[in-house]
Amino acid sequence: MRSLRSVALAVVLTTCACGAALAQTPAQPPIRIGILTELSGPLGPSGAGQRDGFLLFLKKNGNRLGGRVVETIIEDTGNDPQTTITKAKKLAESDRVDLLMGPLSSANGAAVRNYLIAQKLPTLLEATVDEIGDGKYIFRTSFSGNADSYLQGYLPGKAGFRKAIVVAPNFNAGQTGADYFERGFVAAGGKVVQRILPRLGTPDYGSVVGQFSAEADVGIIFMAGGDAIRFVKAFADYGKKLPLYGFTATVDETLLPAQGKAALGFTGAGFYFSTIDSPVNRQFVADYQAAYKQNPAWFSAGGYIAAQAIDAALMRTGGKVDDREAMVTALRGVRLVTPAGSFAFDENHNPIQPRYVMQVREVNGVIQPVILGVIPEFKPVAEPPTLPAGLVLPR
Amino acid sequence: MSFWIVNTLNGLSLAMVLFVLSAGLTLVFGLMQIINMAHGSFYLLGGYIALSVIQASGSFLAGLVTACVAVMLLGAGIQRLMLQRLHKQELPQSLLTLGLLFIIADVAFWLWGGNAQLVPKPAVLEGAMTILGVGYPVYRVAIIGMGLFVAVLLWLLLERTRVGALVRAGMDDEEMVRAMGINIPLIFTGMFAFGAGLAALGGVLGGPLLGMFPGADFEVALLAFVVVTVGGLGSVRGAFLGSLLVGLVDNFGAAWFPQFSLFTVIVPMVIVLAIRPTGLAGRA
Repeated sequence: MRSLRSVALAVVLTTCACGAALAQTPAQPPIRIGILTELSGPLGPSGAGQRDGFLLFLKKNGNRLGGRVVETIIEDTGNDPQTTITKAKKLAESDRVDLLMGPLSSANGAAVRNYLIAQKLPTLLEATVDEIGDGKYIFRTSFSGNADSYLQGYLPGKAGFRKAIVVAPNFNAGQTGADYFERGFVAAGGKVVQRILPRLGTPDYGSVVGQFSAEADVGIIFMAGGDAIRFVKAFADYGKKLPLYGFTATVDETLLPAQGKAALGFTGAGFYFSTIDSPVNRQFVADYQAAYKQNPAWFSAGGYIAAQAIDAALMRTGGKVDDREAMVTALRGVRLVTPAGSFAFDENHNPIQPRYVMQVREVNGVIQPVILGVIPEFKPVAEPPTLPAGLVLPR
Repeated sequence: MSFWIVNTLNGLSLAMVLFVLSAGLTLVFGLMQIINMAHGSFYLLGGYIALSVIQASGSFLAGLVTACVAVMLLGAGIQRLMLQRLHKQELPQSLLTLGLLFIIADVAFWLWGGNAQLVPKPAVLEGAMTILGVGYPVYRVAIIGMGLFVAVLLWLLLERTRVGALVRAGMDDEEMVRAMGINIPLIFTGMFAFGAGLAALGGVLGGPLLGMFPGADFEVALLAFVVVTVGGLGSVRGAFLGSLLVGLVDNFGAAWFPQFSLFTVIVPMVIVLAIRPTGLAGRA
């Protein structure tokens, strides 16, 4: 952990113009940071991972960010947009938080965005639908949905597949995911022959798998949480031989133990996997394992990065949070080395960080994401990406 | 053609899980007028207990038996210690079971965590088989068989045994059964435990298909209530017909209009209730 701290500190120091920012005044009251995400419902385990990633960095840092003592106030969105707004109002107006780590679900992120912008509350969230961002108060520490879905559709096209079935859940993130899968796949020379949008929380994916067109040569899949487990298992049960590509949350590392061999062969790209081979990440995985007895997944990394970003931004403001404009400017300028690699915000406050192309494989008896190649500085825009030289995409 | 075969079989396998689940719900209501809101919790506990036992012992059968017995004992305890004190008070009984639903959901979350898990299938039922030229999962065929087996067993139990006769008599006129010197509280406890056990069996059978996760109790309870309402409260035959209707409609609905899948289950319920307010096999 010491190495991670010193690396992070070195990066901050080199980018931080004023050394005086590190000066601390001991008698300051704690900074209040609200955590508002999905802690129950189908996305509960993912939101809990986001929270745990944030708290892990905080704990490692002696409960301080940017030198200031931090008080966290944790609230559950209940995966309900209306509740999310109520809880956001409580955090902003009654608890008077200085900063917020916001939801993972795009449905709840979309519900609460206008309120947060009106409150001018600097927010770091993981919700992926692009329209939630405002390029001002809202920062994303996960990834922007459009660009990633585009990439995930582009990959099977580049692998040589021509006719795809697209499956995604029928809510805002899933719908735009399906649209951008198609754009990416078409850009790489393919054609979508079937598009299925089941309800999130469909109890039995047998009927979805049962109607797959025989014409298709690849499936491009967007699933998450319990739905992802049921889908992947149902797919394997039917003895389908169709290769699967898509959104890597479909096979994230909290789900793989339940999916088992049924997940083998799934290919996609994402910003974080616990198998990323870097000293910073090895340390992060070891710490996370020690604290929570499981592997971190992308949402845990996103929570950790949010804490890192706040830490670095507070260094720049000298620990001041009262001036919201200065805080936003400071956040916009952070450069980090995170477990996921190098990190910076673009002009829309989406992260610029690497993308790892991976396939689920069995290595030494452990079913895990195996990284096939890295796109070093992935810009969050939906256009044909430059794939790493020598990348062999599975067929 | 394969579309029809696969979706019909899918519908039937979901219907059989729903039948096993809702048979208990409808019997308990028929005999005791208890609308058991915690019925989904018994399903959840059944699935989770089976999951733990199978992981520890490697035997599906051991998991199935342990889960059903454990949940039956829990059901007997709940009926004896709590519900019996509220005999014939329908609203307090429903509120009590609603409270149990929340408590059991939290306890299950505490014990088994928030990640969705699948109950492992018995090894002999892994993989796919060919039916009329279409590849189809063996486990789902086995579920259809199990569901039919349970249906026949229930029918024999209710129609051909002394206990069944007592239960039917209790449904028609509890006071009269009591006056004849029959120990009706014992029958009540037994029936509640039996219903809980059926829900647990539903959890074990449905676990490999639908998975166990926080909120699974609400999801299946919703479908079970639709089944029981469509079929007619208190009727096992109704639960069977209702399950077939809901299972098939849910599957073909999901295949044809995936974005409306919950809607396609509720609409037939509204239509059935508009034409036959007592349900398909309900008594007035």
